[in-house]
Amino acid sequence: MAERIRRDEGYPSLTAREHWGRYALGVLTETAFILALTLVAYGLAVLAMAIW
Amino acid sequence: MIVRPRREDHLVIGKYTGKIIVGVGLLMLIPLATSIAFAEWDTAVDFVISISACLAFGMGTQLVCRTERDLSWSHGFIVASGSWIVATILGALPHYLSGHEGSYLDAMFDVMSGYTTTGLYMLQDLDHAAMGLNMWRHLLTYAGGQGIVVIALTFLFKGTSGAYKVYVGEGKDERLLPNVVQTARAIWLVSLTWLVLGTLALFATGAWLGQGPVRAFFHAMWVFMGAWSTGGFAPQSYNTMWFHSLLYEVIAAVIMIAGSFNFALHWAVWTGKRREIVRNVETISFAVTLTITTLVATFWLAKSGVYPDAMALFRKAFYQLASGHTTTGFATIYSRAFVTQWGPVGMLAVTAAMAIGASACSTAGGIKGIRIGIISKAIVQDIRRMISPESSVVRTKFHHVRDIWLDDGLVRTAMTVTVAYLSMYAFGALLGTLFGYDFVQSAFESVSAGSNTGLSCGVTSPFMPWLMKVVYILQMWLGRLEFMSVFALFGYGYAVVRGR
Repeated sequence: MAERIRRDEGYPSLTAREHWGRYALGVLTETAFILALTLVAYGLAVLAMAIW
Repeated sequence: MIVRPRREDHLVIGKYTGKIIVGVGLLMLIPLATSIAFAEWDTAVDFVISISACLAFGMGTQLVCRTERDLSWSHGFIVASGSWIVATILGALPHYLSGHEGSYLDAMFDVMSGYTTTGLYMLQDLDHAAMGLNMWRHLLTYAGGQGIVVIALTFLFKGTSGAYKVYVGEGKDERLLPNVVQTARAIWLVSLTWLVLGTLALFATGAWLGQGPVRAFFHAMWVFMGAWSTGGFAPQSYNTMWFHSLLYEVIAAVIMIAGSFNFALHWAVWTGKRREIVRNVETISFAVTLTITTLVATFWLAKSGVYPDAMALFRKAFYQLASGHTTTGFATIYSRAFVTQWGPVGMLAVTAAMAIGASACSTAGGIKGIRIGIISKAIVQDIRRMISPESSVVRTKFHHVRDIWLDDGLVRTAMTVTVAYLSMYAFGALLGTLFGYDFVQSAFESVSAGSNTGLSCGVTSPFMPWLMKVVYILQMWLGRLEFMSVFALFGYGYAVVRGR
């Protein structure tokens, strides 16, 4: 019911095409953050092997 | 609180539990279709029987418990915890009928492990399990990660005002949008988008590694479900080690870490607040504790000379730590390698990572990053108070989607839940030790069950004592629902008995 009222008032739905760009940037941001953590772990492994 | 339950209380609880069980029965249509597609007729019959049982129970309960009354907060908590138990008992039917389980208790263990996104399992001869059963196992964990109630909210509850109370009872207390049904849909949008992207990436990698298209697709989808839901189930007994691929491991790690993020964080980042990912107390807490535990394990393993080069060390250490910290349970080493190669320090690092867990309102378990963040901030605030002049006012805030001032109530709640988790971990560890297991291994396994991780050092097996199986089932249940709903159910049971 609430959703129907919002749509009648002109609010785009969650899956509206105009949101897709922002969603894609969101996925890319999350992936970049996770890959940065992965790189830190790789750096630790290189450092640990260099010490021992 | 229901002081003395009346008939109306039973009716409203029964009605909503029935709705959720109908949802579980409808979910079984997907593995039924898979079984039919692959001409697995015995498995298809198992699912027809199980669907019939769920629909009979769900519809029968709704028929008996007809009421117009809506849920109160107490009802919501009781429905959330009670429906998980009923869903486990009925959801275990396909497992038990498949002949892959030693007993009905083992089947229930696997199903509770799936719903709670734990990943420990008793199923025997996994490598020869039917496609339909594998689809059910992974669907369980995907549905459990979303929250059974979120599914019911989306498809069955519609705009019921009391639905939010069941949603909170299931351990997800963030509203992404003002309307709770819209919130459930936003959660689905995030999950399904990642499902498509993650499955495609894993499918392409699997095909590139030489898998046939059908096998590559199903493995990709199931590994995605295991990773995103932080469940840790995989379609083969070697888990993700089976793929022997750095690319597959990196993609799986990205998916499991993304799956462990708070849905509120996902939504904030997706709707334009991209800096939220480096400002949020949960991601900061996760990054710090993941780096510390990885550092400890990596340096210990390097010193022990277990792995020949930096790449091998990185692949094994980071993957197990990320898997443990996100409470996924994927592994690229044998279970016993934790004991024979990683040793007590390596196991301690993984145990600490599992105990902390990932984000609240995500698919992950454990104490949760936000509580660790709040407690850490409270300790720093107390130290600042001690060294500041008596007349000064010291206040601290943290960032979680918005800036929040730290108050005693928040710290007390975080501490209470943390102590509850630590007590549960300790209880399981002591029980294992009493049954003759080594303490470090018992602690590892207990934390793995209680934090809904699923990494195993070899303690969990169909041959372990039945009492440990029951306790691990309870730990998985308590850990996933974060205690309060389960306590409400116990309180309700006590009130029913006392009322008589």
